[in-house]
Amino acid sequence: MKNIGTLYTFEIKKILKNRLTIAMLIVTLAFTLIEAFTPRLYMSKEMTDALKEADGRVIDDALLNEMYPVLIDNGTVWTAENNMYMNIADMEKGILPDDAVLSDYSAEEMYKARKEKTYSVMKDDKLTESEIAWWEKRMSEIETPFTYRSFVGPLNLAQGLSLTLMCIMLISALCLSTVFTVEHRQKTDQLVISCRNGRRETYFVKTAAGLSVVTGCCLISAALLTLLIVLLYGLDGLDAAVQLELPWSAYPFTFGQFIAVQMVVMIAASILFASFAMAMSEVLKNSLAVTGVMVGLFIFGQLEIIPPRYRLIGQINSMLPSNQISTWSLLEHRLVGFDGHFLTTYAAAPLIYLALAILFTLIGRIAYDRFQVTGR
Amino acid sequence: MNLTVDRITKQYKNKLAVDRISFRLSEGVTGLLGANGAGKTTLMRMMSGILEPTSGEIAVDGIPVQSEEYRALLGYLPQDFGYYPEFSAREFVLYIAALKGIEKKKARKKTEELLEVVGLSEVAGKKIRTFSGGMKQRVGIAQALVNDPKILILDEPTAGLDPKERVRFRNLIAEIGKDTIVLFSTHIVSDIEHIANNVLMMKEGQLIHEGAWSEDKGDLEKFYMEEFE
Repeated sequence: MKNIGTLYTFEIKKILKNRLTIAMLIVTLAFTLIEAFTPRLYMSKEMTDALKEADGRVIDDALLNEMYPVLIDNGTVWTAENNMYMNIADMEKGILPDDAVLSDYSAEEMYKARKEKTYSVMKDDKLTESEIAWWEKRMSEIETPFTYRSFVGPLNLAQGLSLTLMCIMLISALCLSTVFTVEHRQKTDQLVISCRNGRRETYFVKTAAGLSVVTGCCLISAALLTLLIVLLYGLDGLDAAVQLELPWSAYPFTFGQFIAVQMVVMIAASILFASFAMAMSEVLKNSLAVTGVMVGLFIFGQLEIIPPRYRLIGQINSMLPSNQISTWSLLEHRLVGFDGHFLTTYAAAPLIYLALAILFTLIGRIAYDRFQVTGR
Repeated sequence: MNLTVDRITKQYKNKLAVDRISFRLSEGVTGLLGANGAGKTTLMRMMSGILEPTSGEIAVDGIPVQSEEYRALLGYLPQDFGYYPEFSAREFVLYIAALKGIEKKKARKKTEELLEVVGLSEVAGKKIRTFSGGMKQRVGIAQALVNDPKILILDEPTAGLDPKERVRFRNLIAEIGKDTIVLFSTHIVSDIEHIANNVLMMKEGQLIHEGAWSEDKGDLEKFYMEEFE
């Protein structure tokens, strides 16, 4: 096909000239700024700096015994003077039972309790013996005792990506669901499909343009968030183990690895959102219905209403993009298995998202190809 | 080049919009007359490949209407055609040229040429949403001609044009009709009576007249009015 580049440029222009797209880009920018600056409102620079004082120290009996006298049973008030222990105390509280007195535990007992808690969570989630055996190998890669690192920047970045994903979902739902429907509403469809390349090529070029806009927005907003986080908090702690934040997790990840994985999953999710929005709007010929379905699914995914005993439904729910792009996903140990092999949700989710994106695109293609101009 | 419409029918539930129509067109202007609801637009949509007939076939020199090859020969101006309000006239015609697979350089040259022909070259950079109805219609005419079509289907193209534009447009179509199959639908007999070498008349989905109209047959407008009373 001649002029595919020109057509692609025009389709990009059509999406970007849509006032809704401009509005959503402004909203995304505003959310990114809010997400980057909000942690600063909760913790002063002095408090943040204090977190770095224990950097590089092994979390062993010596460090715990140094920390215990600082803690107050009814709740420690964290100040710049004692804040260096805050993350360590939070981690220990997360591991031990709710009524436990931290100072009663040695480092060895704490790490033992951590392991037991991880197995207990896995059993609650109905993991099979072979899945648990698979995780045992991964857990052996996690070094204990942990080495403390301040991880304010990486944690803020990882948490901020959830909001970026929500913006990407809204951009897809509101802006891309009109890529095809606007042609019907404006009655330009009859001109488009009567042209030589108006059927197959145009469908794929429109889809490619929509995917480019959404993945572009995803990359730019993630890059902007990263830049702001680096400037405000630095990226010290990229090499910290994720267990410092979520101690039951069995993933042998550092924060840097976790963020990289989240970025990959988010790009795949943005491709899924975009292809779903465009294809379904062509099938339903109604952009509002598609927006409703997407926002509804996104909200539904965030409701914790599925008990762990319904493993399959729970696992599907946990693989929804809104649950995957979250630090809590580090506690999702249910594996996707086939032919004796296992994949973690981080490996399986992008593959599933891309397969679904291809499926939606083909469904949309059939609807586009069958479209006839009637009535009016 | 021969455009053959063979026993074409379009049925919507209980209504026959087009009822087993057959005709053959060659280079020249063919006027399509008929009252509202006669089936003109449905017939033209089927001839443009944007509406599938219930039965029958349409082809030009054996090339079926559903094919890309047929669409490559086609220029189409729908009745009540849509536009992209955020596009300028130039961008709109260039976009249609890209959809028609015309090479970029050639498309630019042809777009400027056509905007000049339809009298829009001075406002080519302005957004279409700022245009009057007649100006928008002229953008529609330019886009239909951008690929130098061999089949030109114009569904009420003079709607919205002022008398001066109407005359200018008629002359343009007469010129194009010398080596192009032009099908031109209208309510207004004067639009076609001097330029059409063939006249089709539709009533309730059926063809009630086909052929050249000569003076010895009497006044075309009078005949038309009698038929549609």
